[in-house]
This record gives sequence, structure tokens and C-alpha cells, in this order.
Amino acid sequence: MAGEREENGKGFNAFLALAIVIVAGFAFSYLQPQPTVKTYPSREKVIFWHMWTAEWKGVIDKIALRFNESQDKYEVIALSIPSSVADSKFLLAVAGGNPPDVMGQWSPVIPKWAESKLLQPLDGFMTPVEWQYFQKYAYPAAKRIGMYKGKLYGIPSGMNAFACYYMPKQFVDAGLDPNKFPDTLEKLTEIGHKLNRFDDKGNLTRIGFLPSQWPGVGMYAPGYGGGYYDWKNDKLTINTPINLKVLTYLVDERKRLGFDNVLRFESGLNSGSSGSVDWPFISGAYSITLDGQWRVEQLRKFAPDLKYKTAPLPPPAGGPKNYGWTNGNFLIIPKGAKHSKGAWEFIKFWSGIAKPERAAEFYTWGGWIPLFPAEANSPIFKEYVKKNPEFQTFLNVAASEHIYPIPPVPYQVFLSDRIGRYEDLAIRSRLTPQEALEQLDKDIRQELDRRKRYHYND
Amino acid sequence: MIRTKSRRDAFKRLFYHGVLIALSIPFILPLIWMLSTSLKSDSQIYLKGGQASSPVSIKALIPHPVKFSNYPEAMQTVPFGLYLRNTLFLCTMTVLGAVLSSAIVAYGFSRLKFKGRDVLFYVMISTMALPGQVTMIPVFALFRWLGWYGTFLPLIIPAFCGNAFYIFLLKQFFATIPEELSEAARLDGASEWRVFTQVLLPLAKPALATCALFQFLGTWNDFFGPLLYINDPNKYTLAYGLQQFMSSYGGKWASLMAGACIFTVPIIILFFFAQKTFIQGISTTGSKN
Repeated sequence: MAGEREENGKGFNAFLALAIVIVAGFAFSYLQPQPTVKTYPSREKVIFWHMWTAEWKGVIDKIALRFNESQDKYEVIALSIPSSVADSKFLLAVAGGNPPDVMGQWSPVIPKWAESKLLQPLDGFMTPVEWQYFQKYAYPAAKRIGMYKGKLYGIPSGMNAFACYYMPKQFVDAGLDPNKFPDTLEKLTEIGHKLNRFDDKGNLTRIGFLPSQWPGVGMYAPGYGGGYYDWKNDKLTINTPINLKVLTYLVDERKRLGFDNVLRFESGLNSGSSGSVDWPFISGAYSITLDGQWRVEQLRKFAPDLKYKTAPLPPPAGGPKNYGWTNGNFLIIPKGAKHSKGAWEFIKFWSGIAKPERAAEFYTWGGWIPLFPAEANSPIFKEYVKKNPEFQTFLNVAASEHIYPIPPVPYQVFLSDRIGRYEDLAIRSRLTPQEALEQLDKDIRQELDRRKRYHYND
Repeated sequence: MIRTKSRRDAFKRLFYHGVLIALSIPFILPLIWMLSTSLKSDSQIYLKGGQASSPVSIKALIPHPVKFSNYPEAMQTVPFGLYLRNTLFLCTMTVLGAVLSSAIVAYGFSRLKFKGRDVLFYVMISTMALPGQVTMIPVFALFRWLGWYGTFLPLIIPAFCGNAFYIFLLKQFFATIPEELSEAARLDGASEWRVFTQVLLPLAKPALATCALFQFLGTWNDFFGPLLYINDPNKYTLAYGLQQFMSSYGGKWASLMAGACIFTVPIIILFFFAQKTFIQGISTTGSKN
């Protein structure tokens, strides 16, 4: 009986603890000051989902604030959604009939979602003048990112361009002239070999230049006039002699240093993905490395004393200058958006279709490549480039005809996954480059057959 | 002789405690790191120059100087009070719903005799094996059809429909209470409802408390539910708010860990007062019956 009382006592204690936590929590919650956010109750609420985090979330909030201050009809409410679940939440919200009015994306979703009728074509919102302006002036890559089957589904809100970052001091130490960056890929590769450093045991202590595993063939093949997509004829080109040549180059360079040796070296470095002070280039782990324009802003903030330079990825002998791969952040309006006009006004405001000079400032906040030359040439952006002279390299790359995003097919995620998988298998020497491309081609054909069987409209 | 035995016992105890303390270190270290980081400035956390972090040492874990301001900063970044209220509201409703509904169903399975009872019980138990992802879309479609999308209802109402694990746990507990008690009450003219509420429920307080605690924890930590069904920032919960906080302070570990500490404190307080019930709850399903 005493035991039973004790048992009941434990249950009572737990209930009491629970009640105390709840009551104390409620009381505490009312004592907390609320952050003061200016709201506009009488305006149409435009819900904007995005996936930006950390320092960039602040930039997005600032752009939304500027938009809200710029007019008196709409209020953009920016909500950050975790990128890992953003697509699921978006799909469920569209299915639930309550999608956001506008969404900022960077995943390759436009062809797939457009094909599934989840997106509204943006050309429907544009006046003929706006449409012509976009067609005439937007950078070629910006159009490639947002278009699918002749319709515009996404307006880039910032593109990414890639170029080489290098350490002049390491050039000097190796007896090279830092002001003469190699003008061909072949020379760059050779200089990279000279800049590699090893310890007594043969372990890598510094990488001169290693063609990046990602985005791999997509980055280098345009220099040879190849790649996984024929943009003129709108068709995939997987197992081609040019792609084979590029993949063989990537594999040979990795083999030269030793796959395990590179892996051991890189695993001792920070990933640098958090976007702050931990990028291994800062500590001199790489003499030359290929990376995006956002590093310029980060280096200014987190390593202001670092002496570095940038240069476009040099083409193979005879190839076009300023070539490579690109991706970007873009804004879309889902089907079923309740305030799609407000959403479009916000897109126009941010992208600069309305006023490029005003929008130019937003791109300086995020360290993004603008959409139009008018933005890049605006006084505010020129001032930004003056402060960050290395940014000019990326602007030149972004303006090029020869940079391409991932092929615009409705199975982009599948394609991207398979490209990554087979390029990796080749680089690990599990498959020869020829076998890797053949397997990739085979997988894609199987996927296309499957889609045909299930009546997908590719 | 006695002194030798007691000395041996003392050594034994010392040995067992030593082993247990050593085993607890891997579990407590992340919490200590969280607390330590929450009291440091950014310059104490990062090593300069992109190098990998240094090995963990006791010295590295002690913040110097201690920076308490990370805490108020963390609480002012997101509407902490609002998120806490929303979370506690959901916790209260789901605890009430889950405990009451599960107890009623468990009583039925345990004490009432009807055709197909065992089959129904096994069907109910088998739902525990269903991953949430499988039912996510149909359940979402149902709530959308009911017009509950964007409200708290999809997060509250399911708790009032019983929870298979709690039903199982309570059924096992009810089975340990002598049937004679219910019989005696019935002989005195008590209805089935009265037997349930006035005889069995008071005796099942420890099991009910276990269910309540598990439900509280589940709702407190639930991130995916609010993410899926809530779109209005005024209805966000703490778990979701913490993610928002992480979004804002991705690189600022000190503020981030201060936020994580604030989020964890109520659970630690709760565990401190109700640890025996927690442990008993975990062992009930295995040891009873």
C-alpha cells in the first residue's frame, strides 16, 4: 500500500512539474519584450518565402523593407524556410491552396515545376516594354536560368559567376609573375603543378590548382565548345568526344596528385561552406582555386588584409574567353498565389526591371551579380566595384555568352544527381571516363523511357 | 571482518560510479560545449586563418571573459515570448488531448470485452510501424479539405484521437490493477465511466504522467508539424523559431548556442523534477505485465 502511495506520489510530482513549467513559461513569455517590426495593416500582404540564412537573411529583410517603404499598396513579409524542406513545404502549400505569393529559389526546379503547372509564367505579368527590356538587356545566363520552353518562369535575383582566386605571394615564391595569370587552361594546369607542395612523406601540404570536382565537366566543357546540353537545338549531349576529353582531364589531374592524398589533405581543412572566416583559401591551402563572386565580399569582411587576386578561368588554347558554368537565385510566382500582382511588383523592384539604378544597391548588399548591364554600370555599383576591384572579373564572366546553367530538362534533379555520381566514380577511378559517360547516358535514356511510359510531357 | 566488507563495498561503489561517470562524459560533453559556447565571444570560438579547430580541452571550454549578453541578444532576435506562448498552448492542448483520449481507448481495450477487440488492438498497434512520411500527404490533404491548413488545429486535434504508443502503455498499466477493484465499484452501482474516472484513473497517475511528459516533449520539440501547417509568423513555435534564429545567426555560434540553451532549459527543469517518472515510463512497457 505504501509502495502504491509512493508510485502515485511520483505521478503527482510529474504532473506538478509539468504544470509549473507551463505556468512559469506562460508568465515568462509575457515578460519578454517583442522585437519592434514596422507593419502596414491596411496593405495587401505579399508572402515571400526564401531560403537565405545568416548574413544574407538580413539582406533579404532589408530589400523587403525598402520595397515596403517604396510604395503604399503592398507589404512584403519575408519568411526564411529551411532549404532542406523548402521544396516539400512549397509543394504541400500549393496542393493546400495556400502557397506563398512569391518564392526565392536556387534549386533547379523551374522546368519540373513549370511542367507540373505549379508556376505562373512571368511574361504574363510583364508589359510589352518590360518584356522587350528583359529580352534585350538581361545577361544571356539570366535568361537561360529563368526560361523554359520559351516562357519566363523565374527572374534571377542574383546570378553566380565563377573565376580563379589566387595568391600572388605564392606565385612570387615559386618564381612566377603574379601579374601574368596564365592565359590558357593548359598553362594554368602546368603552373598549378609547380605550385603544389608536399612534405617529406609525400603528403600534400598545398594544392597549386586542381580542376574542381564540382561542377566538373559543366564548368570546363564550354571552353571546348561542349557540355551536357546543346542549347541551340535543345537536346542533351552526354557521351560526346568533348565531354570525354574534359572528364579525362579532370580524372588525370586528380590521379596525378593521388585521390587519397587530396582527400587526406582536404579533410584536414574546414569546409568553408558557412560563409565566414573558415575558407581554406585564406590560410593558403590553395594557390589557385575556382570559386564564386560571393567570396569577394566575404574576404573584404573577414580577411581584409589578405592579398589575393582573381582572373577568369583561362580557356583551352583557341577556346572562348569567360566561359563556364553558372547558377543563380531566382524569384517565382506559384499557381494559386493570392497576391500575384503584388508579388510581381516586388520582383520588378528587386530585379531592377523597374529601376535598374535603384536595384543596383541590393546587389551590392548581397555581393551578387546583377541582372542587367544598366545595374552593373550604375554609379552605386561602380562604387562597389571600386571598393572591391576583384569583383570586376566576375562581372565580365557573367556578361559572357559562354556560361551555362544546368540543362533545362524537367528531370534536372535526377540529371544533376547522376552527373555528380558518374563524374565522382570516374574521379575515384572506379570507372574509366568513357565508362562513366556511357553509364550516365544509359541511365538518362532509362529515365526518359520511364517518363515516356508514364506519359510525362517532356 | 565487517570493516573489510564495508571497505570493499565502498571501493565497489567508487568503481561503479567512476565507470558510469566516464560513460556519461560523451553524452554530457555536447551540452557543456553548448553552455560554454553560449558564454563566449566570437573571437574565443573561432581560430583564425581557416584551419580546422583545435582539439577539445578543459581550458578551451572555459569562457574568458564570460559574455552573458548573448542571452538577451538571442531572446530579442526572434519574438521569443510569442513563440513560447504558442508552444506552451500547443503543449497544454496536446497533453490534455493525448492523455485523455489514450486513457479512454486503453481502458476499452483493457477492461471491456467486445467482439474483435484483440484484432482492433493489433491493428492499432501496427500503426506505430507506419512512418510519418507515408501518411503525411493524405493527412495533409484531409486537413486542407477540412479548412484547417494554416491553423493550430492540425497540430492539436490528432492528439485528441489517441496515440498508439500511449494506448499500449496505459493498457499494460491498467492490466496490473486488480479487476476486483472495478468489480467492487460495479457492485456498488458505479457505471463504467465512473469506474474509469474514479477507480482506474487515480490509480494510473504514474502512467498518465509518463504519457503527459512524453507528449509534452514531443510537442515542445516538434519542428516538422508547425513547418508543414503554419504559415503565419504569429503562430510559429519555439522549435521553428529556433530554426529561424539559426537562419539569422548561421555563423554566430555564441548567440546560436545561447538560443539553444534557452530552448533546452525548460526540458532540463522538467527532467530534474520528473526523472523517476521518465525512467519508469520507459521501463513500464517492458517490465509490467
